[in-house]
Amino acid sequence: MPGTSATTGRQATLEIAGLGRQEPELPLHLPGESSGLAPVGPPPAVSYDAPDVRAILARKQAWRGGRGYGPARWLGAGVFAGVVIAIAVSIATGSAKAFAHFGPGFVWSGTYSPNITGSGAGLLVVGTVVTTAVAIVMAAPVGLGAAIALAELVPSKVAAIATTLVELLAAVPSIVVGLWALLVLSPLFRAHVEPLLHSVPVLGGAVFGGPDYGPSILLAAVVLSIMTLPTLVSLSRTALRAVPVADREAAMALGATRWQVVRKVVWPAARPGIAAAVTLAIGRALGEAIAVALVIGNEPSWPHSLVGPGATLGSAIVNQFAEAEPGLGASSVIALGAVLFVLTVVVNVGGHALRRAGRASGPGSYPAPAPPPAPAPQPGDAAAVTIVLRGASLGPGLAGTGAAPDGDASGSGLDTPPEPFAGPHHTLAHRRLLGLSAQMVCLVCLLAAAAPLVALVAYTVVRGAPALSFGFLVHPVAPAFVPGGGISTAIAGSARVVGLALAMAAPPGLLTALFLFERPGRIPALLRFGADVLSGVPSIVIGIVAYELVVRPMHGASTLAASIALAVLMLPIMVRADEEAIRTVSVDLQEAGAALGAARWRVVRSVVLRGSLPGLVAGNLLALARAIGETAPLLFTLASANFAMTLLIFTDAQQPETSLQQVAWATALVLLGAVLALSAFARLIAWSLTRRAR
Amino acid sequence: MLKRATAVALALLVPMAGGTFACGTVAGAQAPKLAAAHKKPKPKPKPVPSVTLNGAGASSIEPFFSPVFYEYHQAHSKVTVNYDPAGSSVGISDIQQGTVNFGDSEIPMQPKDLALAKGPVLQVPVDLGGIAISYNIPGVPTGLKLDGPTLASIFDGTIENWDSPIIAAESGLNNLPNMPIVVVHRADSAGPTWDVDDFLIQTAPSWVQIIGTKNPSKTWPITGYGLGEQLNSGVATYIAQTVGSIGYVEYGYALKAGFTNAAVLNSSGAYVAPSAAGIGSAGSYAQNLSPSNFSIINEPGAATYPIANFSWTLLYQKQSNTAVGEALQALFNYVVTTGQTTAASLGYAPMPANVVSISQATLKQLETSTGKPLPS
Repeated sequence: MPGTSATTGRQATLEIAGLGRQEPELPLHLPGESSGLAPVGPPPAVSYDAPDVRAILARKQAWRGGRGYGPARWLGAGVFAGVVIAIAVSIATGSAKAFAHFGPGFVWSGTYSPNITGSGAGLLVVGTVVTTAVAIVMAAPVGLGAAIALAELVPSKVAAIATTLVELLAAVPSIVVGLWALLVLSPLFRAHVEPLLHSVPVLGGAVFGGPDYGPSILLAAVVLSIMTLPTLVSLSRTALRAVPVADREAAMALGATRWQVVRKVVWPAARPGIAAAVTLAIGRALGEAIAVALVIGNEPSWPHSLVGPGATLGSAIVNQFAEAEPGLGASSVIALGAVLFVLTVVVNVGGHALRRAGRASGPGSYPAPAPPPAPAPQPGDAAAVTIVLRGASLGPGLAGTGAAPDGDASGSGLDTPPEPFAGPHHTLAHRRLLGLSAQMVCLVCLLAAAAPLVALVAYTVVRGAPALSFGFLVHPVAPAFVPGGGISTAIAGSARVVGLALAMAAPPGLLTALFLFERPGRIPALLRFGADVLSGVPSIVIGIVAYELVVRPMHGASTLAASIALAVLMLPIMVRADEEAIRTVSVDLQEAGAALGAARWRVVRSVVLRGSLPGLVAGNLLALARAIGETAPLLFTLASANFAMTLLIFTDAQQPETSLQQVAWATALVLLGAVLALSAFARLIAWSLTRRAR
Repeated sequence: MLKRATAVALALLVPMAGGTFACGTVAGAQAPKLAAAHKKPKPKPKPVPSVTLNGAGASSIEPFFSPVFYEYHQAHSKVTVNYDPAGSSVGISDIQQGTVNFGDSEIPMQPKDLALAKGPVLQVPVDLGGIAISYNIPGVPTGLKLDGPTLASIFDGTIENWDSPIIAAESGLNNLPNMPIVVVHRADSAGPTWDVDDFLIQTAPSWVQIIGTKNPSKTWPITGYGLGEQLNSGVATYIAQTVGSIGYVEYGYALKAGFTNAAVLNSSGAYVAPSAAGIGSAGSYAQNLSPSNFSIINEPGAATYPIANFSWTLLYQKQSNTAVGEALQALFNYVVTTGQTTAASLGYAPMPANVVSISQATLKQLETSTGKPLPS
């Protein structure tokens, strides 16, 4: 009978939602209804004061939160916002004295000198700009050629492996690149490359003149381009793959050769994404301090020659911060940090904005789900995870469009039809020849992009392996004159610092990600902007901030100070990666949970977090891999170089004793192994996720 | 497979945050025990609490401090000393900010540095070292004799090639190769820079004319010529790797690296190469040594090496932690007495007796925060 079925139905629903016991005793039938036959006429009016209706309304109000879920999210977001604000405020107050003393002219005039008089960031800004410009001029063509090769020319199975290789190479810590550059590239430059450059006909005297030192602006630029190539290649490849397959097919149908498809259809459509990739690579190059400090020669004067020594903002801070006199001296160095901070953040935020604009513009040939935020660009972090996870989320939602396996919701479409593919002077043979030679160039670029880092890894293995033994790993660091020393102090110290940093960064990261996930609107947009800013802050600036905010008040360096610095570094990576992982959980599942009457916190706990756990773990592993390889934040926050692997490498690389250089190589091998293992494991988890989603 | 992978990853991540922290702490505490390879079973003095002393300062004294602190730790296993050889100016800056227990500087703190400190600072001479002018020219193992003006011309770029007739005339060597001179100097603030600058100011008028001042400075005064390297270790590494290079390093580093060093003309007209004897001879001329009267550059004597200096340890007079204060006092009393016996083999010279008594008298001035003198 209708009456009894309605009541038993409601009772059943409440029981499934697990609330039957918690709610007050409900009448078995609606007021006004007899337990027997239901009236045939309209149902009686429902009174909102009835206990069962009040119970349902109370549950609806608890929808958004429950069990402190709401306040927890706000707390996480507050911590995140607090960190960003604290960094900006600390830099501003630290540099205030210098700017008050020197005026705004500090930014574009003078050079930093520990003697204070005539101090300014001017020549250092010039050095930074010149070094970065040379690096990008060298890296961009090679990187873009490699990206075209990976996206278009290489067979897809090989492309998948090659892309994973490139992304793993992006995880190589900058200190290992610096070690290799100092001990291997620098003598090579001095002995062979610089004499060769002197003999270049026109430029030999002017641009490449001067004595052959080895450490030089050119060497620093080469190091920067080696470090930014993997990021550039993987981001450009994503942009190229995002161009809809339909556009390519249309061009092929009109008779275009493979190269013409790339040049006339794919390239123009992917231009905004590629512009964003180059901008983000520039941002990365600007912020690099440690590797540059090792090989640039530390001569803050006007760069007369590319093979002469120079100095950048980052290298000046690395060398001068610790010895700056408290007061105006330290404030001047922090002011250098402020200039670097503003420069890097402007470039990075611009890059992110370009990326979002590139994604949003243009029609795209299939409907995209709720637009996910742009993934973080830094190497060794959520980039691969986001790319792969987004593919997983798009998979089931699409209606058979045959989209590229890791396509984003496309770049811009074509506004004007391309030029004709064939014409009286464009014979097929001519087009084919042109295409073939261009493809050869791109494949050479791919090899050129991968070769330096593969050589670096091979060299580290060859030089480091002989010193590696079980004893080496368990004995503590000893002075050079004591035989049988090892690196256990450094390994244990690194593990300590990074473990504590992970424990400090993971909860706020997850809570902020949930905050961004739950709320649309202006505050999350602000937080995402904050994440863009934070991910662009150079790690040397984070080191300065940690010194000012933790080491100075605590009257000493400590593991806590170093962990706080690393936690700040890991936070934006975790927020990005966690949010991407959470968004992969299908909306259908969440709606099913809601339909069963579960509260929001319950849905998040049982459905969203449980479903996104692999992605969360992968993101945290990538953040961990990045943190282990960092040197700059530890420079000013640890009491001795023996307490962290990266600091040990930095110190021993600059020692004349070959035994200590050997220790540096072996430590670099251990570090490289740890970082690559963590990154590979994270990517394995992400890959299983994609496979299962298909 | 995914569940298993996630389970394994969680099994990694969760213990990593907690367990490695614990393991790291335990391993860190175990390290001194494992390092006791040469431990002699000496009868221990009265039980002292475990103390860690953190110091930072000159890289010039690192070849001396490192073995001496190591020996001290073998004898007193409860005291762990960490020294960060980041440069004299770092030592001064860290002491001013109170972030280390002791600092070390090749050039003592001057009144304007002392004004920025948090309290009265004691400056204790702890070793006597010299600055070697090292070079790397194939086929010229020894014999390069240089005086102040020639050295100044090399460092400021007036002489650019090793086969210059001026160098040949000065040193009496005719076989110097046709090779550009690669000058390497310190990029950071350095005591050795001050010493070399002071020596050139006293002996080379052309140098004074170029740099425009008679006050020596810790920052290399020539800009736009030569390569800057960080710390003694950076300069030493560069000289070792670069053929045709010349630069200045603490003699302890030059000895360890086996560099060839120039014999420098001193004020008595003798060409003296750096050695423990030559440096010791320079130190013997230190009368009334104090932070305001500290220079022993260009001292006379037939065997005196003209570029030498004392190294000064910086300690706050009032020690807020009594255990730390006592440990510092004991440590540096050891350094200026027993520690000096190994100085000669490390590339330094034992301090003369009058300086040792100055050091010990200064150390007696250490007090607790309430003003009671620490028992020595």
